[in-house]
Amino acid sequence: MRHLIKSVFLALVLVSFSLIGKAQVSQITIKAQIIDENDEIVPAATVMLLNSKDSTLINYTTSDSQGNFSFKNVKNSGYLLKISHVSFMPVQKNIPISNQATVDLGIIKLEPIAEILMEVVIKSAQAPIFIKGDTVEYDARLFKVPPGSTVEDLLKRLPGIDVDVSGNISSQGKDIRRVYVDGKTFFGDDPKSATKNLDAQAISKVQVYDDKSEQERLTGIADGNKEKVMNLELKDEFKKGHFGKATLAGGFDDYRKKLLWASKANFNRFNEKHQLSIIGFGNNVNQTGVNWDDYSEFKGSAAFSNRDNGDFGFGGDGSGFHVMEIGGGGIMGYFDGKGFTKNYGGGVNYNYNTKKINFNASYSYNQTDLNSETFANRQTFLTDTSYLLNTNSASDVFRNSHNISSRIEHNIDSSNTLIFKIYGRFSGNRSIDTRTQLFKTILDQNINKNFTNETDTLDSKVINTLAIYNHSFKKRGRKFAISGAFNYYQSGRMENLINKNEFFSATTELEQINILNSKDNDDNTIKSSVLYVEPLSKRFSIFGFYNFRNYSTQSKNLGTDALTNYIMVDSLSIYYQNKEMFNRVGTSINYNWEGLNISLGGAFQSINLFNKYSVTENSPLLVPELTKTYNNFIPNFTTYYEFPNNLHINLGYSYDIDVPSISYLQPIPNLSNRFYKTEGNPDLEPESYHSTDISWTYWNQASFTNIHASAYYYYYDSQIVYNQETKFVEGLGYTTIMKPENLSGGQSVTAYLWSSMPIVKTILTLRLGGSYSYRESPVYINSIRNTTNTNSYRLNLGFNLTLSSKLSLSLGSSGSLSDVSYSIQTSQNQNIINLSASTGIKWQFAKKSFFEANYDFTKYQNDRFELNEVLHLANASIRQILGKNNKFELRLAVFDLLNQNKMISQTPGSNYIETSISPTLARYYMLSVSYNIKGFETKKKQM
Amino acid sequence: MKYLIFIIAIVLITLNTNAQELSGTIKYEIKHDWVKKINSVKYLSQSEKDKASYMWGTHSEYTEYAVLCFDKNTSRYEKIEDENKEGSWAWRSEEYIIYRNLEENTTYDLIREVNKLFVIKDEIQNPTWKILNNIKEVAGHICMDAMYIDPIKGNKIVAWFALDMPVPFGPDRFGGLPGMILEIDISEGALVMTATKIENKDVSEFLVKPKHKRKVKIHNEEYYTKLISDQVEQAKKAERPYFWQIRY
Repeated sequence: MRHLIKSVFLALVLVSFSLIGKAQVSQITIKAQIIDENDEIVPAATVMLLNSKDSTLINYTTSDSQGNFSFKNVKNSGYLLKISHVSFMPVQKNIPISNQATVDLGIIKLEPIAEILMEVVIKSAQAPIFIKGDTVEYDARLFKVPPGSTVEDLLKRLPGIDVDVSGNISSQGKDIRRVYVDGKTFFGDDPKSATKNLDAQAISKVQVYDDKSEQERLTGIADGNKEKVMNLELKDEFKKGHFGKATLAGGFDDYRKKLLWASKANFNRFNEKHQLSIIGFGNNVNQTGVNWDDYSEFKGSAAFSNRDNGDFGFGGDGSGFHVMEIGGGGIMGYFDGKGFTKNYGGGVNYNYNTKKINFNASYSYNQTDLNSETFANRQTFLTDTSYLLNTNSASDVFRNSHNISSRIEHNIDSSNTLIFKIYGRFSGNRSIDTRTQLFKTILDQNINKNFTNETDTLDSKVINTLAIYNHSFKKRGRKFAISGAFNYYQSGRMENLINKNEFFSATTELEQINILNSKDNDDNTIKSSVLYVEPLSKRFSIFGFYNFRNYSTQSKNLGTDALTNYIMVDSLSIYYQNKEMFNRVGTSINYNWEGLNISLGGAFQSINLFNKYSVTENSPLLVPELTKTYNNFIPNFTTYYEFPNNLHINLGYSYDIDVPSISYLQPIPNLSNRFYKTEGNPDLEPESYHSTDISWTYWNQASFTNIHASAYYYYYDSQIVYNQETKFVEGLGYTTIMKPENLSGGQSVTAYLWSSMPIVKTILTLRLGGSYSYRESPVYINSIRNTTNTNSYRLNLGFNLTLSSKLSLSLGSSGSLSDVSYSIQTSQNQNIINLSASTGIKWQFAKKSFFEANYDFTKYQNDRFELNEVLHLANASIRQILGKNNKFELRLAVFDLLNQNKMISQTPGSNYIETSISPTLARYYMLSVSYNIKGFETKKKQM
Repeated sequence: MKYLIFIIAIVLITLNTNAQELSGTIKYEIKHDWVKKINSVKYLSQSEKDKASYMWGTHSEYTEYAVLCFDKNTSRYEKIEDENKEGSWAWRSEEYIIYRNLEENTTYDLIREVNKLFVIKDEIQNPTWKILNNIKEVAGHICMDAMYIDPIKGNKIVAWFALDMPVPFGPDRFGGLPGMILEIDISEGALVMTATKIENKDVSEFLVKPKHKRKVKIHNEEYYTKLISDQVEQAKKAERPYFWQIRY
């Protein structure tokens, strides 16, 4: 027994010792020798020790000159050993937790990488392959097949895969009986249904591996019946999709007792190459077009391609070379805030983008029916006196336009690019304007009353084309570019003017005229520019440019008297031809290095003008043919410096010359107003002015602080202004004759500040801005020089407060003061004051419910006019998102709650001041339903 | 005995020349894809991503270049000017120089981030790489892949390292693999750095710590990590892409 106990004890001790012994192997050494298939030693193979659970890299080494490697004293925790070498298939060995201190794996034999994989796949196709055990995977995107190819065409290109005539697939001699798509069976078991029907472009990866047989899957025991299976992985394409939105709204204007409605819909469909979008809208709530967001979504990737500039050199040729799409290609519309409108519009846009070709084409249509009324008061100062003019006008306008535009950019190769652009606009405008003007003395006595009725029909065509070719030479920085443009404008206008004049003086008489006027205009411009850049050194380069423009216009104006059987009135008829030839050649030397860019240059320009005037096309010239040549030298200097901390400074100076336009030299008779007559001046010299600008921009990404400050200064050597002769004609009233003349001494300075900075990060943001401007405008009034000095100050301050992700507030205020003084009548000096304050709230008060409101206060004040108008505008709306995927939105809104909206403006002129008020859409209620294909955001937008 | 010394000398010389071969420059092409970047940010809304995809289309890429100088102990990475850039306009080059020294086990990175210029000096800290099973060629070298998920930005980073260049360096701040990283792919194409040209030459004169003014502050890795995570948190709160503020 004792013996037994002893034995048991001994056994226990032994067992525990062995257990302890086992536990003691906490650190192990792993070693092996690597050889190749010919039993040759493999040195410099990479050996990696990975965590067996997640393949993370623990340690690594390389095999030595004898093919040996070892990992000494590593934790005994189970590893995956991975050996790789450029010439061999990677090998993986599992190293379980060991009970011995040294794990000697002996000799590990590497298999060479099959030539087909190395040469064809990896080297020629530059395609990564995935190797794990016997699975080989290909990246299908790297095997190019023509567009429209099926997966079968793609498989034929993959090395190691064969497709026979009837579409059966085999890999390394073994038939593939199953084809999965993203791991799932694709329309039944026939592997050909996937390979013959799926588009090769949709596939990202092709994997071939041994599938477990059904039996193995069930029993878990490998039965050796391995099946080759192919899996096609689909591309995870996010550059593809569609989105769209539709809104229908109905409402009521309780003041005008009118039903209101609005609707808008857009749909966009796109993939990597094609983008197609359509948009349409209609309403009677003064939305004359779509906003920038809608427009940019409509144009898609082409929204930013409007900046092609064919005007090479500095400052361009003064006429602008961009093919501009007026009003956002027609569908953005414009509205000055006066009156009531009814609008319809829509368009379709297509973009095709590849690395080589970017193509855009779009069509849009827009129409607006506008009714408006304006009540204006103007006080005009003469040397010794003043008079008043009250104008009440009403207009009824229908305008529409068809717009087409297209742009092709062809990147022929890395050094040649060609851009071609065309824009066409076909528009019509029918308007009826009625206007009553009452002239009064400063003592409020009526002088005369003028009534005008004008019916106007205008049809016009605009076609602008532009081509630019860019070439970069082999030498870095050497560049050549040439551009050409042809712009055409044609218009036809019929004007019927009825004018009645009533005098309040003793010899009161009623005067009436009725004129029918037809006007045809044909303009065309041919332009071309050439640029050549030659690098002088790494930092210096020089460029030379040449601009050419030939502008010609032909205008026919035929005035007939409707009261006397439409007899032609010579004084109202004119035929003129005008040609302008522009040539400019210039050069500039540039320094560009590490954020400092300086350009200093000069150009010589020559402008030739030819004008011919006659009453009709075949009648003798009214004045001898006018021929003028202006030759000038213009300097130019710009500099830009970028500091390391996101601070940018710009400084520029230029001297510009603008030749007088035809309307200054010989104006077309203005029929609409008998009391203001404009004369031409064939002796005019060009306008010439110095301009300098400086700007300072700072941006801090850490705090999201933005500060921008800029200032401009202009000084006119010669400025074209309308000098005025105003006379009181007994029995007629005040008549004014205006004549353009050159004057020197006009100047202006403007400074802006704009900034935004967080006070409490992501919670409270401050916006601060301001501006100051001083303008000195000289003009001769009744042969006395008057200088109007305007000092304008503007300050605005605002806060955005984000209290939580569900509630944010905004508060802002602004004030502006214009102090205007007139040297001829200092008693008329005045202050124009506009003050405004606004506040807004956005509140998500339930999961899918939002409340939004804003209130604006505006005060218009003029001490001399006793103007003191205050507007309180308040809007509020409540939104509810509905539906399973948030696809519907219901919105109830009230606009201008206090029913005060109107358009007020105050304009200080050279010797007058005018204030005007126009009614417009005021309080209305609206209920809208919107549908969004992709669902609405259920998160509140940041303010 | 003389014979033995001769052999040792030969071996040492060959070893030395071998070592010298592991020295040179690698030029990287860095492709940014704006649309893929936006799509990779988890907290941005789907409609914002859709709109970005639509608006930017194929215009969403831009390319930069960088060069990595290295020998078996040191590496220095910095941006270089684009050789094929359009026009003569000169932007200021980025202040971002990454320096690694294995012997001293130190980093010395001159970085401007969120408008602050500083140096990160610390021990070399590498991510926990997961070794994958793909093989491909980059710039004439057979590479294997490894990946990790950036713990702050959540981006998937895939590195392709050369089996025949056994140095643990790479572009940007990436390293710690058994071979030189010749390609980095972040978020499946959102940002890809690919070696385009590898030259073997002596670059010891370039392998110096980045120079800077004395007032530039020196911080440790923890400072940098905190700076980045604070910025990401802030961007997340404001629901805007974090790469408006910091590097992707």
